[in-house]
Amino acid sequence: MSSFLRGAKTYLLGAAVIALVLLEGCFFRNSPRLPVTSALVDLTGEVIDAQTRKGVSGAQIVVRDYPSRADLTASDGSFFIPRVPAGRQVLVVSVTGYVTRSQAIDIPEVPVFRVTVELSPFLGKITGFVWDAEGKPVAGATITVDGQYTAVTQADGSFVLASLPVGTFAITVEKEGFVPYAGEVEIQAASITVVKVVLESQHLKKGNDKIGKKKSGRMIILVEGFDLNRYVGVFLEEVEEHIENLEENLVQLEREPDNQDLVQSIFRSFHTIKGSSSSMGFQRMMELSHLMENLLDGVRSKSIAVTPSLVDVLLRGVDLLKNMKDTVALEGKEPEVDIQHITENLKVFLKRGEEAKVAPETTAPIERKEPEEKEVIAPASRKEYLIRVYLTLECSMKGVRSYLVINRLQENKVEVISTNPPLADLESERFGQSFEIVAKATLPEEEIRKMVESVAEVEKVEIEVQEELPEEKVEVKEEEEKEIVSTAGQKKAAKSLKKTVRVDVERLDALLNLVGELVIDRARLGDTIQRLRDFKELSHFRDLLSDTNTHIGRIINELQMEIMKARMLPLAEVFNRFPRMVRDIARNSGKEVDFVVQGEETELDRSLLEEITDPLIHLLRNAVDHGIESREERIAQGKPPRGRVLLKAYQEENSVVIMVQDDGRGLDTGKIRNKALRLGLASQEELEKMSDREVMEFIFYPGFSTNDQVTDVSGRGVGMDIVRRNMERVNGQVRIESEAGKGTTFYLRLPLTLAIIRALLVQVDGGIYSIPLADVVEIEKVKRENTYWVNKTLTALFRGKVLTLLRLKDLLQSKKAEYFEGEETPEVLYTVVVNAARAMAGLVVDEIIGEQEIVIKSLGSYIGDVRGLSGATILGDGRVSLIVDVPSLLWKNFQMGG
Amino acid sequence: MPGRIMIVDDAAFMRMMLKDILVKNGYEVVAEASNGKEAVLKYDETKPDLVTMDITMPEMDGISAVKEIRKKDPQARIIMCSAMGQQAMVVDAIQAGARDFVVKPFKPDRVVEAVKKVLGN
Repeated sequence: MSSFLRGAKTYLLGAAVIALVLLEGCFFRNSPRLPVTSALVDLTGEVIDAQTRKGVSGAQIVVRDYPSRADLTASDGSFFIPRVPAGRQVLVVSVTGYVTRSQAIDIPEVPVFRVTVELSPFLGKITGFVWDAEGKPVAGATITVDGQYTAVTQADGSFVLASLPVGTFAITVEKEGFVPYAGEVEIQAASITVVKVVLESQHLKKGNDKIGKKKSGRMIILVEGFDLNRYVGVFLEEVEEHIENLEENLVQLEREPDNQDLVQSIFRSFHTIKGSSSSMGFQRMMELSHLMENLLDGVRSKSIAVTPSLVDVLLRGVDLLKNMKDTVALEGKEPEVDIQHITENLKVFLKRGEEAKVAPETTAPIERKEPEEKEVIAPASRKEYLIRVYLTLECSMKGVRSYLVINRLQENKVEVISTNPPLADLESERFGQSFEIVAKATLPEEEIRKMVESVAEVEKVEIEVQEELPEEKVEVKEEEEKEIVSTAGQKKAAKSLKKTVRVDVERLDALLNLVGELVIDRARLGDTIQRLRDFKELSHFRDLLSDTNTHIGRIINELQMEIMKARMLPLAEVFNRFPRMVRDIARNSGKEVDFVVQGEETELDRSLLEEITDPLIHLLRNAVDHGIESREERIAQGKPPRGRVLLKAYQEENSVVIMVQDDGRGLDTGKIRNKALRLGLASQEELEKMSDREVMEFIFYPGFSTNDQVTDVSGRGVGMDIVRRNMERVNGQVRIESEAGKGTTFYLRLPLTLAIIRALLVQVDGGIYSIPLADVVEIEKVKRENTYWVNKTLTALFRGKVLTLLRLKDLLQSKKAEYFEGEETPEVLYTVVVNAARAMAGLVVDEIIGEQEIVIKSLGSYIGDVRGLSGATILGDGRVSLIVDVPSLLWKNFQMGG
Repeated sequence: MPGRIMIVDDAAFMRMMLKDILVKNGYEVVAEASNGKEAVLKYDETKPDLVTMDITMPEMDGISAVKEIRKKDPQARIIMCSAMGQQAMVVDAIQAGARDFVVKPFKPDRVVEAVKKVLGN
């Protein structure tokens, strides 16, 4: 079908592209994402139903990072997406009736790659409890739905039946010794139904034998068709947030075991996860977070001590929560993982905590403030009532419920004399569905009934008047009220609340694009005003226009800044996950490391945040794994036994610098030299001329690693390659400083934003090109007499080094760009010295125009990723200038040249 | 009588669920707050007929918030939203003046019943 696209690598140049870009002008809508210079692959295959194995039609399939690469499946489930960059991509497949699926695939560099995506249909779920008539859980009861799906109740009477088809089915509940229950239940798509089944005992009560007909129990539907899907997004988002906080806080807790705020915050996170997951019906997540919440409660009450092993277990629990959350995200249901191992571990800590409790300091809460049942002199013209309160079958927290009823009566001047069962039993829920209160009051029976009925979950109230009482004095209880007022919470100065709205990032991108358009229009206006200079009679208007234009310019600048700020996020978003990671790596490698984070409040454009995460992970891993020495080694060298890794961010003019520093052994330049020689990256002679600093640059070569022992965390040298690649992609730079025995520091310098950069404008073959200033080292006018032929190619000396001269024009056309011996060379070569992709070169251009701030526009989905170009910009006079992607140009040229 | 309700919970998930339940049953959600402090401020601003109050929250917990709100408005009607295991705290909240409580996970009809009863309709 679109085979003409297959493998058609596009290297475009000049007027043709400019025309296309102009045509494309009104379609610019993507964020200024810099294209990756990897091969483009046609993706094909099908989307199938995981159960029927048949194709699913009408499913939308999108390459997540390249939203313009998308297709809808045909009736047989097949799809075709041309020109997807090779490498790891994530496909997002969605269609109604199925769980949306994100699937990561590794696309090799082949012309066509086939992939099959399986979708799970939405299924229903039923969960609940089986109780006996007395409200006790029934274990071992068999629940059967539709005669084929079965589950057996646990010790607590609970059961779960997941992955049920949608529809109304027969349900039976059976257990020896009970009358079997049979009924119907409706299972809704992607929903959970919660039921409670009450079974009647087979052994009828004495005297009832004659009735012959046995009662067959009943089923109460607690939650019907709760649509999980509607909530799953918010659920996941929130759980993720809490997990992140947990990781960060737990690591900090290890260092500050007495920090009560931390303990509180961790407790709250577990508590919230518990609540949300129980609402979603995720039993395992609930159970796990519940246990950890209890542990934290122990920490709070000081009965459990914070130790590294406690933090370890908690972190592992958090990992498990994270895993389960990820599965929920992908499959829409909780995974069937075994949480027993970790729960056992957690319970060990809990048990220890309970043993540690000297005396049960938490005396019964109700008793604590319960008015004493002293013999009060009966008040005026009163009656004594016997109030029997029936709670609903589903009522939870019956103890508190009964307390609420008693409290409600007392509030209304009803004196509670006694209860049956006694208060202590009520409080500990040792009663069935009803309890009795003996109370005295002057109020009529109806008033008392209303009072009790105003409490939720009260099913029925029966009141009997015991006896009329003689008129007596009333003893008003005021103590209680006073207490309430005095214990009212401490008043803290109310901080003014920040009012915020959540905005889709795409909207901000669109806004920024629009501002970009304004910048261009303003430049054109300025251009027009310049031309008015020729008309002297219009000079007054020209001045007016000029003033207005200046003003517009100022406002546009502010507008731009505001939008930029809105796109900025604090680096804490990324940094926060590192303490946990560094801790784990250090523990695994048996090293002791103090990890210090500074400047996490520094803000960066959100798209840049994503780009720096991987590089930072690599750098931190390397720092701990290879940089920091073992304790013994450090002591032997007279260093403090604990290593120190510093992650620091700060703003410097228009860029943000992120520093990763360790006080370890430093880079071994001798080893790097040897390795470079062995890999043939440089000759002995070349190496001898190189300074240590230059030698260090070798570590950025793919596959370069000085560590012969490859660990599972870092090593392999792949990391450093990625670090540089990622940095170059976002116009950033990496710099190393290292001293043997003292440590290594990496500096990542990033632009504040991706959308606007400073560039050098040059003319090549009639077109104007922009070279990002980040890549430019210097501009040189090289005279012919100062050029030399080295290895038959033209070179110049630049700061004592041999610089290969390349024609930008040919580079852009992906031709051989070197001047070969015998070729005619111009008198003067306008040369832009660039340094990118681990190479320095001189790009020869026709003319150098100047430096300017440019707004990067993507080339648009129509053209797609073009090698050697990273986008376009529109100049003041309306002309289009293509932005040169220096790293990829050089990279390719040197690969071709070998 | 339809009621104007403020939902207080630090979990957006819970707020969303409660809001759905309440709105479906004809109540108006006039404010949402994610912690006790915010709840106290927003109570003054919106004067709702009823508040659903979570217990465990950052900044200021639900019990302190009940106390603060009841101090300013002794007529304030507040329903506690509690999780299993928070019995003691619910009791504290009731002593501080909360009118009723519901237990998570929420069952829509239980929530509506409690709201109805507290609003007296």
